Amino acid sequence: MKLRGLTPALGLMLLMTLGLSTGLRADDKAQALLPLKRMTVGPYDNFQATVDEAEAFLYYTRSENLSSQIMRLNLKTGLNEAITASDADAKTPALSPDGKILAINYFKNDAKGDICLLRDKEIECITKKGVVDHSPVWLGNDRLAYISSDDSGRMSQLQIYNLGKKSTETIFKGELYAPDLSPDGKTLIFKGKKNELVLYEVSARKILRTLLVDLPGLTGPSRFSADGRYLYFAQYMLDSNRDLQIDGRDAAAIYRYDVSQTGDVKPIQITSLDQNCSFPYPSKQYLYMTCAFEGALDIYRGPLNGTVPTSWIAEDLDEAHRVARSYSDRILFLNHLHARLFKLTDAEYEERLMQNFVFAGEYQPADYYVQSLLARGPGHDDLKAWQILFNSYARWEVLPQKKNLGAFAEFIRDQRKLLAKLPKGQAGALTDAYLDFFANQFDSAQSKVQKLQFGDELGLYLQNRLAKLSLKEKYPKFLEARVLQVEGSEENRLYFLSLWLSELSSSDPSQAIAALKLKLKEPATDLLDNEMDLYKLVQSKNKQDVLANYRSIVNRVKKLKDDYFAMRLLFNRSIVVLYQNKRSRDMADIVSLWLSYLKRESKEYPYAVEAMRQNSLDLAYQFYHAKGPEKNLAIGAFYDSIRISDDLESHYQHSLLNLDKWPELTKNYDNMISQGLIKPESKVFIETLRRVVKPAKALEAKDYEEAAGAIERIDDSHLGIGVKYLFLGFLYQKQLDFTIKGFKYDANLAEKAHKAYLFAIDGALQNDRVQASALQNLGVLHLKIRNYTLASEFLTQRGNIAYFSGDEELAVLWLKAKAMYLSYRSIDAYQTMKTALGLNPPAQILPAFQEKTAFYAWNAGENLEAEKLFKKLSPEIMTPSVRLGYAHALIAQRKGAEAEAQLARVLQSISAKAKIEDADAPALKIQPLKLRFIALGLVAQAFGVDLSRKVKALEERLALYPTIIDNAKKLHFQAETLSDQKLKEWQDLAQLYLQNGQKERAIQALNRSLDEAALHGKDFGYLNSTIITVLKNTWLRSTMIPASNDKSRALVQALDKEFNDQKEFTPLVTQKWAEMKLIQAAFLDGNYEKASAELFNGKAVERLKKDKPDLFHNLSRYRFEVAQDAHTGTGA
Amino acid sequence: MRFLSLLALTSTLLLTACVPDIYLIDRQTVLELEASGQWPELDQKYKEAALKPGPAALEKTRDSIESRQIFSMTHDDKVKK
Repeated sequence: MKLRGLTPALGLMLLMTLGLSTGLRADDKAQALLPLKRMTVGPYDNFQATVDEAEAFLYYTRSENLSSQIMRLNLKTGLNEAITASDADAKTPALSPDGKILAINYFKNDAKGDICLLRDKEIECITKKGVVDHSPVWLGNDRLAYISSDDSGRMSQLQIYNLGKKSTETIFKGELYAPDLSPDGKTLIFKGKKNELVLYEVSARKILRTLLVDLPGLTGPSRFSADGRYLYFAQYMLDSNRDLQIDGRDAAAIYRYDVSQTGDVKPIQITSLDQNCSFPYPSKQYLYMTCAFEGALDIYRGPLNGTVPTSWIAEDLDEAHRVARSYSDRILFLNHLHARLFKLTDAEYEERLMQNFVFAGEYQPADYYVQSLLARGPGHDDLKAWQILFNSYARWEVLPQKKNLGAFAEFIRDQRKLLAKLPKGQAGALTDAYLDFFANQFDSAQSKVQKLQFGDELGLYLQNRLAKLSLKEKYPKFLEARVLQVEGSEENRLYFLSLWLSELSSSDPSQAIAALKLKLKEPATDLLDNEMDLYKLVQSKNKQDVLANYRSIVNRVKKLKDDYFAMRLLFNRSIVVLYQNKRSRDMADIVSLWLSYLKRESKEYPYAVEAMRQNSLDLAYQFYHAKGPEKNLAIGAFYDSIRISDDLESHYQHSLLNLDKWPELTKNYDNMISQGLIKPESKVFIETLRRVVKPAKALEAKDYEEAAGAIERIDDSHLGIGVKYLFLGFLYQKQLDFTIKGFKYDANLAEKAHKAYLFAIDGALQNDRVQASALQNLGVLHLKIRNYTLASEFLTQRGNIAYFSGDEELAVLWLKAKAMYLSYRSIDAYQTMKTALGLNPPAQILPAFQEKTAFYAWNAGENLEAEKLFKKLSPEIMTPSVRLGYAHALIAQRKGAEAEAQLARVLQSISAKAKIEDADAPALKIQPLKLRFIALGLVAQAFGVDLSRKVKALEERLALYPTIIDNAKKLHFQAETLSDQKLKEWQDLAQLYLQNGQKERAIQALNRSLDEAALHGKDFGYLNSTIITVLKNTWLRSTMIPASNDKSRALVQALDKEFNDQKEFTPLVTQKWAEMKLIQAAFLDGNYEKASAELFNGKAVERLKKDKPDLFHNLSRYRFEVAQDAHTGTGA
Repeated sequence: MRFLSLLALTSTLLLTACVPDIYLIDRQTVLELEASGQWPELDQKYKEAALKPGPAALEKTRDSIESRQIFSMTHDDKVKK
């Protein structure tokens, strides 16, 4: 069997690489930071975790649409449930040690918050209204501590509630937040002023110790570990929302103190700032925390000792620091070198941290360390200048928000004054150039930055940053003149060289490279040669030239093999250049070469494996759709990735491409397992996949359940874990399909599928291929369970990613438009379908797209566009339903004749005696008689339709009402609405008769409307706007159509009785009723003056005047208008 | 469309608590049924086509290689001696 399809020369090179990789395992995590496991999923915010002793349940707060509830997650089944009702806010769950009572912060009876105890479903609140009560924490099973604060939150009291005695005592007063109790019950910890953590002895009621957290930013809530030795807390450090303040909305890292030590303890960093975690909750086994990822808060858990492996010694940390790709990781490693292993002095640590924050573009924490360094002693004028620069930079960055431009200008002036007081120096001169730039004096800034020459590396870095900001196309020349020739660490020299290389144009770089080469020395010159080789390689048209240039690169790698940063830049540039020039196969060789020069146990190795995996996938997908032998390139690339990384995505695609070679494939898997290249569970994965995608027989729910069970057991440390969860979500969703009956479905399976897809997205953050499928699946899932808003949201997100094929894009757009329309976003539905039509759907499905676009266009109010699309539809598409939609669009444009033509076709095609078929709820069925009923209504109301035609239509429609009302449920009507509509239409008919010169019939119809109104009032109440309108119309038309006064008097008496029997007058009802009474007085009773005066002196109108002056004002105006009409003789 | 409105339907009683199932058939669903074409096969085909057991085989993705963190260089946090 030939699974790999590479050319012999390239194949040989890979074979060499793979040979060297024999014995590799997929357990590369040991060489990298330990991962966090996500426990909850959005799209809502989930935070404030707490678990029971056995870690069977996780309790947390979920915030959804500005309301919050307490949720419980079963950690075994993964199922969630809300344990507080959605009609009141609840947060901050705290579980008693015996797991029997959940204390919560509850807002149902007190907007300021109560402390309440939840036992099963019973809620008992233990605090008084009107006081801000929060932060419950248990002291054993019998006592609960919490904080009562004033409204500002500054003055607080620590209260202890005794459950047995039902009594409360205050044990501490002052500034305190977020308390926790040590496991032995002796010590309370709470956050004091600023960054203080206060340890308080409960029995002696005194402060034992105050830890002043020496970290930038704001200290968050702290928690004791289960053994009481450690104190975990979050430190908010980065101004991530760029509001110039560090608070609970900013990015945080978790730290811990060892409080068993009494000396000068330093906080050990547990999570990286990139992970943005807070609210630590250490259980016996794990550290639970809330991390903000992708914009939403979710609960994660990780090792109690943090993400840095405890086995790492100083050499490991040095190496990890060297190979790190992010400055936040470097900050984490430096913390461990300093606080855990004591390998750095305080001053060294602070200076290096300061620099890393600068490199990460985080100036507020950088400034904190500048202040610390300045406090160490005199002689730091450069630091004082940097301090001015950092402060100014932080403020300049938020300027795009266009806030306080005047204040910023003032600020810059002040900074200039401060700078002027410092002795002259390079740092001051650069800061001055920055201030010019911030003040929009660009020419001056450009001139100054080009004149400076730094030897100091931080200065050089900052100078380079200003040059990049201000010089634009002159920037590469600046690098050559002022930066690249500066002696510095090799890491820095190559860092700047990488910036220069990234500025190179894609056309022939020979001249620029040759000119620069004269000014630099090794290894920079080697890397410039490498760039030339890459250029020649991508220009090569034949295999020999490619191979020659490749050999040159291989020889250079041999030369530089012991120079870490040179090797890193060489491989980085090679991969990027080859990728940009679509030389995926050459790129694969380069990555293999990289791997072959790395030690398996090095910390660079996982990066190379990941690069290899990414590269193999890029290459494989490039040839995935190829026909013929090139398809083997895809198969070969997936296979290479499997052997190197054991990646699930590669397993998935590779096995799908080899379904017809299964015996050979599984044999190969056995070999790879025996060689230790892949985990046995990878074989389980592909076997399960095959059973599902190529089943021997139609699959049943239990087959999917069984498959899901197998996939659930795959370890979460497996590379490509997003694919596990994507497949798992699919299996749950397939199971779910079997449970859907009408509107019913298995909500647990729906939740499991939803959750699995979001885990898939989380496990594949940079992977569009997994995200695209997960988002599509989420869209389909929520469409099926009629959660249309979420469906449209996920399918909209899906639109940000490319499509596999035009057919797939049409499918997604069709579903997205449907979800949009069903979530009352008709304009978006129409726009979506317009996009779909722009893709030229094939002829056999085009009518469906045109018809739906027309329907959505009408719903979006785009009637003319709708009409154009309806006109394109062939007669066989024009069902009665479609014609009704078309008629609506025409009526909206007052094109009555055209509308009538469509409606006539509907009426022709449906008999007036069409049977109503049985349709038990919730089945939806088109009922032809209903369509006829609707068509008749449209004819009767359309502008421009012949009067006698209208009369006839309305007569038939009114005759249909009894049948329609009898079958209201089957026809998806509400009986009350039909009754209401019927009496309006009797009045309409009276008017039509009058217009048609049939006065007697008009009188009969109006009397009938009064009879119908009486029946309606009897069934549904008299006090409604339709009956009021019927009466008003009857009286107003009384000179033209003299209806029965007895009937209207009887009706108004019933209505008045209902009005006067009300417990309370509602303003709007009062207004409408009073308007009717004015009409009655003027047009029926003929006693306008007296009756209107009595009405306005009456209880109801007086009340209206007091409660709703604006409505009273309107009523008064109405009274005036009625009076005018009455006096001009229109009235009685 | 003035003739259509929200409809609450009740069906058989649940055995457990004798509480009727309440179904809310929304206006949009009813309107689509009665004033638009029905394409059940296309609907079903597209739902099935969109549901994927694994990653989409996309040739192009949003993350450009030069933006991948794995290929970035770092600046040294050297300490002045």
